[in-house]
Amino acid sequence: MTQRRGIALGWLETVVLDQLWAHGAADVATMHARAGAPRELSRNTIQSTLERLYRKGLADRYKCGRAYEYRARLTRGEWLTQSLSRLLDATPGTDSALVLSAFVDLAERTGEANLEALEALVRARRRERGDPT
Amino acid sequence: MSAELGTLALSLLALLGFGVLTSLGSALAWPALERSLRGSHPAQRARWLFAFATAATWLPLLLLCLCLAPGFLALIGVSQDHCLRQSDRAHLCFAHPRLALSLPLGIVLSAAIAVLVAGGVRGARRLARWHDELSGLGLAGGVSLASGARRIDSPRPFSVTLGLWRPEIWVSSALVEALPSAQLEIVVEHERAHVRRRDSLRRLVAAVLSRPHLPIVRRRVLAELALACEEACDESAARLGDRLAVAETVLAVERLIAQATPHPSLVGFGDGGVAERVRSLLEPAPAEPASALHWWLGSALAIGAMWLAHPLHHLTERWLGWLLSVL
Repeated sequence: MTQRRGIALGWLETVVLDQLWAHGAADVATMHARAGAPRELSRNTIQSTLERLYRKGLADRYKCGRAYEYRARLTRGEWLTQSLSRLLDATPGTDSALVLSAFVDLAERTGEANLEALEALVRARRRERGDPT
Repeated sequence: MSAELGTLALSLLALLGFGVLTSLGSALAWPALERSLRGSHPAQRARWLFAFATAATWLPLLLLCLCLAPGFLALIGVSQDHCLRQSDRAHLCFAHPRLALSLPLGIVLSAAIAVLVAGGVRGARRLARWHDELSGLGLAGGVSLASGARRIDSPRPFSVTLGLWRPEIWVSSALVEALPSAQLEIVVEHERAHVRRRDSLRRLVAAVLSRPHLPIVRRRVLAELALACEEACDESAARLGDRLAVAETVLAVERLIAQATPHPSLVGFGDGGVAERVRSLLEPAPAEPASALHWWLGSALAIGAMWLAHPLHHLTERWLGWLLSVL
């Protein structure tokens, strides 16, 4: 069975994407000043990180004069929803499913008849205890 | 050097033998263990199941260490040199290695090293990928609730604990809006128990170290471990007040998810442990496990292991000798 795989981000890709969300579009020089220089990273490192984000479909780029300007393709909320959905849909027993504990199993359903029988059991126990229903 | 490699190959052969014995022994012992754990406190059950699942890896390693112990103890001067009385061809001792590396032993050694390296690389790559995926999720933020959980806008009702080292609780807006506050408190308390117990990490380690078990045994043990973890967290949530309220919350969330599932035919109908959890919550609270029991068992195991080292060492040398004569 093929496991659904998500987009894994490296540490620097995470930092750069966070900057794109926080401050909007940026070219390599601007991003280097924001995220690269404070960490003593070269301009080439930032450029290849932006290109990786572009190739992974997480950033768009436009020609702006002689340089490319990059912007995030997804909003923070859209990224969160996609990432969580992928993990929630993971097949039980696969790698992704192992890093997640759900209050109620998301991949298997009890079935209406069983659910009603269990609810009746709980109601009966409440009646036995004299609790208001 | 060839003699040391010969002893190393012999040790790996012994490890393989112990692994096979442990897997077969576990398959025979599993029905009895499953019966004896029924009715015990879920937290205790989870500990036993974790020990049983991982035994497929640690028990063969422990047996090998015991086999090698007499040689090492003699080497550091703690016990008498047992090698002088020994002239077996299969001699498990790094202090006095005698067996030259032959072709069959060379093949065993190379295959074992290749499997270990490939397994290690694969495991490290998987861990790195999980780490990257989860750190990407952490980046996405989310609104923090007063309970310490994070709320995410989603039409799908769910509540999950995500992560291995520092797990985080995520609750969807659909669940927050649909559940009364008392039930939401129960849900978050259940998830907090997962965080405290590090259940994701526990299940991951169990899944990795249980690989040498027979597949049918491994599947059952891991499913029972997952259920025991859920029930242990239900017991924690029940400390908020009412066991029946926890049962009702489990059923309410199950119903909400069932209603929100767009294509019910695409999901499995195995109930995901809901029936067992609810039935367990309808019973009186199980007795808390006695913590001293583990110390007693651990001490007994350590004494027994020391007592077993010499007989096990000689027995292993004997069957390895027989194996070499066949090879």
